[in-house]
Amino acid sequence: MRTVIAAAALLMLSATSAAAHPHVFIDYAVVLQFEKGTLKSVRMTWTFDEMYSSMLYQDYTSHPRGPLSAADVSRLQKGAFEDTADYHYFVDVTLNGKPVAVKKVTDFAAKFEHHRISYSFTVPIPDGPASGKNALEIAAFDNEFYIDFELVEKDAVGFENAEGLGVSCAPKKTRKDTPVIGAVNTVAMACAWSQAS
Amino acid sequence: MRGLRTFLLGILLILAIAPAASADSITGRGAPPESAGASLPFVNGFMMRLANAQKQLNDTISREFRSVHDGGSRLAILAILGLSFLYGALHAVGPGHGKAVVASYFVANRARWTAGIVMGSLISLIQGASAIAMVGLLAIVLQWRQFEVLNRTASVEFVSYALIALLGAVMLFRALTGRGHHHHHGLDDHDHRDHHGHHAHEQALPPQPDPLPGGERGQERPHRLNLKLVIAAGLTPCASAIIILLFALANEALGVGIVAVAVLSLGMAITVSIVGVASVLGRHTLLRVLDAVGVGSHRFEQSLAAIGAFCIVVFASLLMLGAWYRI
Repeated sequence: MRTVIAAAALLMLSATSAAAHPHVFIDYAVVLQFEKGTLKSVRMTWTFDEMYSSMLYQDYTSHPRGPLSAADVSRLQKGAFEDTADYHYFVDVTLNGKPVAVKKVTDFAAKFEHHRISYSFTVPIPDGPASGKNALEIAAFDNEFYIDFELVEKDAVGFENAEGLGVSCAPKKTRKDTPVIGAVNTVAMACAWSQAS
Repeated sequence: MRGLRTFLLGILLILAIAPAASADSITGRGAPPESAGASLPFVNGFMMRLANAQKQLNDTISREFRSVHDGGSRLAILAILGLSFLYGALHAVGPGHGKAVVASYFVANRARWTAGIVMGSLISLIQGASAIAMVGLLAIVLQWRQFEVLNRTASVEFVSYALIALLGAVMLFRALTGRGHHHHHGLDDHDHRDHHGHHAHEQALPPQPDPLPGGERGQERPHRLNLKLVIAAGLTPCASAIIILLFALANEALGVGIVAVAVLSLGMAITVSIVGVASVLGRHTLLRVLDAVGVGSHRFEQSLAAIGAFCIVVFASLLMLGAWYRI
């Protein structure tokens, strides 16, 4: 009987979108941007794996190899970034336990360094949190696993204008829903601070 | 043989006129599908670790490719091959790669466990060849942009799943109408007689030992793999194989890329074969248990043929929809 159950489970596992295993690997990092004691936005940086970077470089930039020009950056934004809006830019944020809708991001920038393309963009946090204790959880996650997002190993989090707020951040295991195999474990960056009143 | 040749020609024709994928570069797909909300708790942290291992391998393979490009050391090439093998084996653990087809096929058909290995390996190797052919034609001959090549996989997948669904429907029809025990009459019976010695390993699987006590040992003719199904499932190139080839191309090391993809396919073959063998043994065990408790396993075999074929139709149709999203 156990064999049958195992076979059935195997079948279910297999019967998923073919796009569903990672083909793109992105390391991400976040910077919490405060203004006058209030969290205004989060700057997110994605760094692509070398193979995908090479494809982006080949298709969206002018050769020969070198730093990206402004035209290159705008080509990348149009051709290989803007459509992620359909996926809320793969950004999941909760503020004090409530999900923040990510509809639009600003200040897109791109770089090519050490054989890798990286993108940066700003995720506005529309309703500044209330005074007192605050908690933010942010992760980049593709629930179809076409892209594997992982927090970068070093300097995964930074702050701007955070003096006196006592911000502390740490990676935190969390669970995310996926369309096919259900909830899976992933890692988010969890931060807490005390709002200046 | 004519049937198979017509089948292959038909595939080429369909692929030629299939609509170009308009999938986005970065998401690799069209509009987001809806969440199904089901949960398989045991995969919890597994997906994360699996993805991380693949990331590390991908990283190292990239670096080695660059060093081949820069200096051309033999050690780097060896490293690429070894790592590609591992990458393939791990990568195929994730969804896709024809595992559903292989598993369902061996639910439906009585076969030896070696048939599981043959089918798993053939599908994986054909998938690798398909990736090489796609990159060769589209990127090198037609000079398409890299993402155009990668996104074209969605059209090829669509065609592949449509064919699998069709072949599954034929299997289902045969199972339901009882038109012969399909393990006696593979679709390609007439395709592999006598000639084609090089195909010997796929056509002449030795007679299986009787899985049922008191059954008809010796009367069984060897199970013949449904070659059309194998080819249809092998059509879909793995996106990772394409990405590696394109990366090799960019690093002027296409030869190494091709060998790496061949080795990657071998790695995948291991994983897909394991699924095939597990399915063969699962069916075997189930029938033996049924026999032991006195349920007529013979009648049940017919049900299994229908269930397996039904699974193939359902999976292929679902995957077809998934590919459609990305076209």
